[in-house]
Amino acid sequence: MNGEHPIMSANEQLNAIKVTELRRHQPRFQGLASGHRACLGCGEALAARLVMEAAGPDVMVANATGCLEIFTTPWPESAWRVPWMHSLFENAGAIAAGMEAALKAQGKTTKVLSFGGDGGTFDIGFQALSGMMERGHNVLYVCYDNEAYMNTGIQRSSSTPHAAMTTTSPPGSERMGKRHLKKDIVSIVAAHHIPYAATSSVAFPTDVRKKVRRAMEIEGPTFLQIHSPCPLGWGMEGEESIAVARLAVETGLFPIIELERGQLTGVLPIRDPKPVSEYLKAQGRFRHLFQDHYKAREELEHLQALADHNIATFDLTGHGADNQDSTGLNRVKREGVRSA
Amino acid sequence: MSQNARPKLEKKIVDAGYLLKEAPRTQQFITGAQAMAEAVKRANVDMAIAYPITPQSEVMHLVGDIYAQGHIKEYYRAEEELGTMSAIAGAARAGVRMFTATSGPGLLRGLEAIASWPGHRIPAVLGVLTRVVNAPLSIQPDNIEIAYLMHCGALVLHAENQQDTFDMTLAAFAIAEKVDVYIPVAVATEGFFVTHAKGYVNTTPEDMALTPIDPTAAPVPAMDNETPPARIQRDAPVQKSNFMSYLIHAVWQQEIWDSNKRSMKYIYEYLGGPIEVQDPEADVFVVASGCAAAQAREAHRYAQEEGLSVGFIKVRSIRPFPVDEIREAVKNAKKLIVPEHNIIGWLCKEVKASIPNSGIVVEGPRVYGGMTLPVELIMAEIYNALGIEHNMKL
Repeated sequence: MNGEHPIMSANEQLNAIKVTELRRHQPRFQGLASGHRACLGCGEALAARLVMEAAGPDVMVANATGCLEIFTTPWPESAWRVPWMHSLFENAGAIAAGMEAALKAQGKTTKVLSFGGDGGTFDIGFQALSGMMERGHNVLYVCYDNEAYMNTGIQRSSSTPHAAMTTTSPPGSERMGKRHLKKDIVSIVAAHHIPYAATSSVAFPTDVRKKVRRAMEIEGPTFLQIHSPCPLGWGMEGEESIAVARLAVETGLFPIIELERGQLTGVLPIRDPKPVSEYLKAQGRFRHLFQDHYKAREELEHLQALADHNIATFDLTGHGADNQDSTGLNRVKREGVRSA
Repeated sequence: MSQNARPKLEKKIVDAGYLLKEAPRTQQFITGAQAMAEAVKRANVDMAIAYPITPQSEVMHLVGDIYAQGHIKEYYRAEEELGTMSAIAGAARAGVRMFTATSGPGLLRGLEAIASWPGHRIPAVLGVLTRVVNAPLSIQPDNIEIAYLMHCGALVLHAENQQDTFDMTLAAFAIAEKVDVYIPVAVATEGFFVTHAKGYVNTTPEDMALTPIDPTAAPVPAMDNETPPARIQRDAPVQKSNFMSYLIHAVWQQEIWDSNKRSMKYIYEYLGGPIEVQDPEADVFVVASGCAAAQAREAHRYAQEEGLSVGFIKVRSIRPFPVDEIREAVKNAKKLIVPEHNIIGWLCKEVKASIPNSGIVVEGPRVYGGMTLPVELIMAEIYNALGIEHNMKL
């Protein structure tokens, strides 16, 4: 560009340059190619693509059983453009640990990534994950958290939020969906005193990429939990995935945080906290909470209290408009500012 | 291999044929656990992973010592047996020679991963030091666990004594990595009776090691970001949910079991064949494997002293099972006696399924977990089979 731009203001031009500049540095490597068989609006597929882009080509993947494994590798096809291995449901952490140790023994520096869903991470694969982190393997573990066993038919996991309907936590006249709370996996993981554990959401791609790059630079175990909507399991249209994922963050129900050696070191502030009902109403899995029943009202209050608790605990309240808060981040076109 | 690779002790590299059949040997008086570890020391193993399941043998402690002395590049204790068996799969796919050992409940705990090893084309070696798996637990042997193991697709060798444990473990590494085999090999022997008891073992020189693994000489090459063939790893996983996947699963598993069968020629080459036969013209045979074969061998000796027409068959290889060899060896036999260190009689079932006249098989004697298998029990069956009156105080 030289001189005055016919349409953009000086400020806009500056931003435009930044964006171009950033794009240039943005890795365009596609570790997870398109053409796989994820459902429309699958949050996990998008999240995995973002993670692979940011991680770059020199990686190996150990993938737990789950949607991601199934939809990316229907024989004889594979969407993966890096060495990739699936073994069982519960052992992605252990497979990754073995790979990493073997690569180290051979003097290779390829980074090992381990992918699992919330079932494969919070529940059945938890021991393998814990062992891998405890021994300090140089592995980035990414949990694609869609809050239930979606691949097997939407069964409750320990990540399913309180009061949500699943096929094994059905609501009825006597019950309001899942009775228990969502497990605080990132704190449990961080309690291993690993260098870096964080949460992110597929609604904030910039945040996902930034955290993957951060984790890739660390020698040692790192953990990233990415909130990834499942249109089928959550009861919504595929086109609503990102909007709903964004609401989970904006209501405070899914706090975006960073923990280093167990200490809270970063949060994504919420500019205008929204009532939880906005998030819940958008999804069929919480439909029973909007009936005229005292139990439903009680659970709605309960969920609002959980969100308020998160906002207070992690100090998520924003301090005025900020490019880096829940409203500013990833609003390139609408608000003219992009940060990465 | 990169310059950053972990160093290993310098040794004279020899091929499996030389190491097993020609290399000079010196006699040691060691336990079965030590024999297995001594074989691992000579097998040029890159990495071992341990889990201390109860009741564990000493094998993985001894392998830890080997690591500390620099014979192995990497060694760690996993979080559990399934974690061990899974990590072995990950590591072997990443291109290194792997070993672990387990026993009884640990084997069953890890079995889900072990059952997936052959399909992943994992040429790892697994030591199985058999122990009771059924409640109430006992720490002594019982080899029911082999009944679970033999349907996984892996080779299963069954060692009679400490010498067998050494030779079979060493041969296992060579056989597992043959390009036309390339599936895991389990070397089983009875916990306690073999692992904790000493015997004479002729070992090869400590400074002589098996040829290192070549991760590219494989039906499914190891995962590697530097070498093109496996840059995109898409062979090992077999997915479900469409007709192609059912077909490919069938084809893939057919290949696993064919690989299993093809290993037979290497069992002949390195171990002298899947069976050992004494007195091939006898009327009655005692057919046994593992520790029961040691007792059966003793019973055969008693019978010889008494001038009875009794032969002895030791089964070295449970998978592949020597169907043809056994059928040929017992084609003129009148009775087969199959003593076993388990109460379900898996060897007996295998033998019966191998011959056209299964009615000649005597089911037993068998002992429950933790019991010894006295030679007198076998002798009683021999007398019964030959119609000889006897009055043994058992």
